[in-house]
Amino acid sequence: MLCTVYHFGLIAYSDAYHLQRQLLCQRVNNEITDTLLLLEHPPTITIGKSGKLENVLASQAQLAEAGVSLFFADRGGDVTYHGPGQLVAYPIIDLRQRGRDVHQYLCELEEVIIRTLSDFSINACRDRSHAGVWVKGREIAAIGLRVSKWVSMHGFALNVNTDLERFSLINLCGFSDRKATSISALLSQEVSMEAVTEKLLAHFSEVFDLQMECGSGILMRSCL
Amino acid sequence: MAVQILMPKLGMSTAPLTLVEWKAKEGAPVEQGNVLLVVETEKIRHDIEAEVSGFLHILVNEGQEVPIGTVVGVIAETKEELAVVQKEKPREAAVATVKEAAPVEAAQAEAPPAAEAKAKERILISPVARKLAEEHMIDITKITGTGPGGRIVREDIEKAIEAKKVEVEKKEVAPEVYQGRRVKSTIPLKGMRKVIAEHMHRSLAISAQLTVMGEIDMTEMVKLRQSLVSQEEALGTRITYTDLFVFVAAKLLREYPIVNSSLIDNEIKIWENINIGVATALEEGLIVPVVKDADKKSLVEISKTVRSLVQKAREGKLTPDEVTGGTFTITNLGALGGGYRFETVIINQPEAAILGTGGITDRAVVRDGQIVIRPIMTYYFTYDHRVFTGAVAAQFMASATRLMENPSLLLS
Repeated sequence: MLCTVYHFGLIAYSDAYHLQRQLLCQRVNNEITDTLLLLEHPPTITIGKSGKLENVLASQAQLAEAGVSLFFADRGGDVTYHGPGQLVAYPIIDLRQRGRDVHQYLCELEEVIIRTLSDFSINACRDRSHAGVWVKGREIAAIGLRVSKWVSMHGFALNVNTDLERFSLINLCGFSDRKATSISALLSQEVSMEAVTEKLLAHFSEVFDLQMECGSGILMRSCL
Repeated sequence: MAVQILMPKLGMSTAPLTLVEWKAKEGAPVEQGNVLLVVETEKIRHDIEAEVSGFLHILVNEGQEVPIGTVVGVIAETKEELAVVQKEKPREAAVATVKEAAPVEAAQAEAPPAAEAKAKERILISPVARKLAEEHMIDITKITGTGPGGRIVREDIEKAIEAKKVEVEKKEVAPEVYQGRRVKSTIPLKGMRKVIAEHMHRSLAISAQLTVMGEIDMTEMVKLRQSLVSQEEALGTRITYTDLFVFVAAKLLREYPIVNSSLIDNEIKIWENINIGVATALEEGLIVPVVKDADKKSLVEISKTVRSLVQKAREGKLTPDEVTGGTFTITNLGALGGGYRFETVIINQPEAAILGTGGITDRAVVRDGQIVIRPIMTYYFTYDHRVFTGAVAAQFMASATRLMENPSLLLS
């Protein structure tokens, strides 16, 4: 099966959200193939449906001054931070053709991230009680999903070169004692977004048994 | 008959789910297929649709953790039935049977003392405002709360939604002076316009493009086309020059696989499929629908496909699938008028080449030592020098010229 990949670069959270909604509808109606959006967000904090506002530690004025946007998101999960240097992946995948199992889907997304990190000699693992991917107790990739009519949206955010200081604005995933990490921080050297994207696509293709096709993005952006 | 709403199983796992939100109120009418409630497990939000239409009776409140298979609500067929169900199974009773779990609302209300100390600085928002902000994707940092203690309330979000609309309108009308020049009008760079701007600029920035140009004597092609047009009824379609160019290009691309390729991540991928994009001018700009597997299609099939794609493009009904996956593009500028001219067309990334064709104009040319008048078409073939050299481009266009000047070769 085919999966169309769109590379966006930097794109506002709200724009990417509206795009996902549109693609989800089209996927439900089988008008498009499975789709993967790869992008980065400008500094943004998002809170999932069950997330608590107390987990945003900064005041409104501090956020505005730091140029960080704040959105309520209709995904699962608590609070998370997005920013440049973080590889965000939003797969629009039809789970009707994958046994209608959202847990397995989550597990497979984690698997993609774990395999990608292992290519960079990073040994990452799951935490049974908290979805996401962790390295030595620090979160390197956050996951938050929404499934509607058995099609997925939202996805995961993998810290490549993210400015980790920014995570001090929030209680990561709603925990005051959890910290974030990134590939560059763990390796003590800058790793390029392209290098990670390339590996990620290969593992995504393998884990989900999808043939990845590069979309031109021309129509995609025109929806915005 | 009333239908029970069960907490669903979302795969192999049997872990309990949290009932996050009812999308309809107690007693409200619900419609089959619409999202009725939202549940959450791990970090996955899952929408559940109503299986039937009717009236909703809620048994389990929002924020509860509920085991799979629990009846969380009932859809009554009629209002009368609703009244009966409401009497028989009151809301509280059902809640009591559910495993005890701290409701989210309660937890939020009892903020820990530590948070209280900083409460003045923290962002406060009412549940209704929060829901509205989520639906409209409003950036909270741009909102000033007018509720007690700076709490963001519904009106604040509504104002922001309104302001967003006004801002868009204002941008389009306001007269202005820009660095000493009066602005007549400003066209925002967004939507398709923005896409084209970015796409074209990116194409020129990331590849080594150059254009080979020339003329083709269209005497035979004009005859061929006239003959095909005269048989429009028999063929079931009116063959255009664009259709013929797609047909010819498909044949040529089979001969020159390197032209039908893409440079992706330091590798040149030569495509097995020959998918030809047809650049289509729209009022708003331009879009490139793709004729998939053009080499496996007859001229009539190509013609019908192009017609349907162009029609859809003009009506804005193209699906992403119909504008992606191209391996080569043709842009026929002849139809736009303007006669004899040359231009440099820009590659539609990540393709390796694009063929532009101009109008067919009578020109004086030399044949057998005589000046004669012939219908001449200009062409402009832009290619990516990272993928193939000028020699290949020249050969490709020489073959194209030979085919079009002797269309009987198309049968070979």
